[in-house]
Amino acid sequence: MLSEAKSAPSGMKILISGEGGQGVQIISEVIAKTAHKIGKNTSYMPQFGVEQRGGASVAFLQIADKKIIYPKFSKANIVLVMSNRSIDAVKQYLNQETLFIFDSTNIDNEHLNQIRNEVTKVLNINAREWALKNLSTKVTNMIFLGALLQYLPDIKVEDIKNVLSDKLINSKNAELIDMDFRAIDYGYNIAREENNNLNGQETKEIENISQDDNKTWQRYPKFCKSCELCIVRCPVKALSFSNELNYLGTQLPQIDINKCTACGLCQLICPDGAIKVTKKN
Amino acid sequence: MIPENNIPKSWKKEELPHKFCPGCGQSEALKILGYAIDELGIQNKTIYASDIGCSLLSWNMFDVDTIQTHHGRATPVAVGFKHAKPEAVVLAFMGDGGGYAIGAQHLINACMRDDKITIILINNANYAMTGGQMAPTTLLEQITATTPQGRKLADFGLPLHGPEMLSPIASDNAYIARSISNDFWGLLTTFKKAINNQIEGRGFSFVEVLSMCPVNWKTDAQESINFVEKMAEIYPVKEFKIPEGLKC
Ligand code: SF4
Ligand code: SF4
Repeated sequence: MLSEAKSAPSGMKILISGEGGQGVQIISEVIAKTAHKIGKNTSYMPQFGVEQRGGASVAFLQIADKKIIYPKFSKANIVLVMSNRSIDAVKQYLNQETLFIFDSTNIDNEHLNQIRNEVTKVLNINAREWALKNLSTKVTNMIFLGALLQYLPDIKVEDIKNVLSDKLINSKNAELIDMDFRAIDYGYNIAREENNNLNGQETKEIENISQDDNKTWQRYPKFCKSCELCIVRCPVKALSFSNELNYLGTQLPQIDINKCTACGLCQLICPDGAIKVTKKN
Repeated sequence: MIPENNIPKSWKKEELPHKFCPGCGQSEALKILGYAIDELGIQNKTIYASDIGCSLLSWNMFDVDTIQTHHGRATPVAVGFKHAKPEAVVLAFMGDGGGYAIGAQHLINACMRDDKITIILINNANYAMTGGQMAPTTLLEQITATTPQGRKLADFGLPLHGPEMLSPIASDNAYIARSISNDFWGLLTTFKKAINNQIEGRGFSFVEVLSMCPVNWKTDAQESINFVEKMAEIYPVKEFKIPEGLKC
């Protein structure tokens, strides 16, 4: 599977998709810049929905020895999806030859069912879970970047790191560069171990997360966007980020039910309706 | 009383999660608007007109008849609809760019004509959808994509105060207020008053909502709250005009 994907005769056509803010465009830009630097013909075209915010963010990336005539394409050699909703955006670009890369810790089976009959080549990476455990969910996209490099033999991991550090040179957070590099290495190595199991998560709309005799606190992983408002506004500091992930692959809040007074503020202010607090009599 | 549902009944549940960014104050405000629609029981006679800008991300948010209008044109479309169907409750939702820049003429004229619609305008001190450029409401010295050194008085004048601008030209039938998206109960009451003023057939209603934009302000949750509270020092949260006899 690897060798086939690597030897695409007319160059590589890669489609990357995720929610806005997941870092789709950053990794596409870094790959494109690096490919250009090593003398390849390259094209990179970001595409947003009708609006800039709020839709799936898609990047069309091509790397070839021949001239590239047009920045878009009808079928991709590699499709990488970072969120459930982005499956809708990439469906039409799949065929039996396409390598489909996804994150099994973040994508629901319900969404995978839409494309189950269309893909035969699959790479399943547990990017978010690993990032959360070892670094931070902020660098999940870099794991995918590393994984893609496994299929772009002309581009060396070192070249990518150089371009990335130029880009991040003004970043206030030096730690971030180090985390990015470690995430790239992890992604590169994990992509070597082929895991072609097209299984994701079971969909959970509500989690009955915590209760005692007086109250129940529930959260909705399908709605929460990890904005942290509930955590900073809880008057008794009963909420904190947990190690479980929501539909965007970012951290869900969790509750210390003993501290909670069931005031309901978190439910009222959550912009996404992702919390429900019920008082029992 | 905390509402029984974590999601307003008038929201379209099948369209969730909605399209707004994490921590966006507009989605807080729209959730509260949803509860106001629920409490007033007007879901089946509400017409919701949204503008261009981030405000359009709400086009599939409510399970009510919805019109997507053009840049700054939510107001005139809403006015037209109200003339055609006076028994409808017509809400126009827009941002500070739509209402105070490209659509300012409509806002002013609707206010002068005392059109019986309810306008909700989000003030987040920047043009958010296009990447955080300076808006009429950007604070002095605030850094945006187009004011990297901060907004300067000499170049761009003072930030625009909408309710203060409209109040002197509004009739005594108008309800004009400014509220803040973080204040659930305060904003809910304000929305209900602004909608009741229309239902009671009195006159023009306008609510400006101070709102957070963490993505373009580049702030985390606590910093966003701090910034919107700083905005409230410059843009006072209060009712500017309350018609006599208005139900709350
Ligand atoms: S306020 Fe809502 S969306 Fe934000 S972190 Fe809390 S539960 Fe998630
Ligand atoms: S109900 Fe009140 S005390 Fe309990 S977690 Fe929510 S905000 Fe905190």
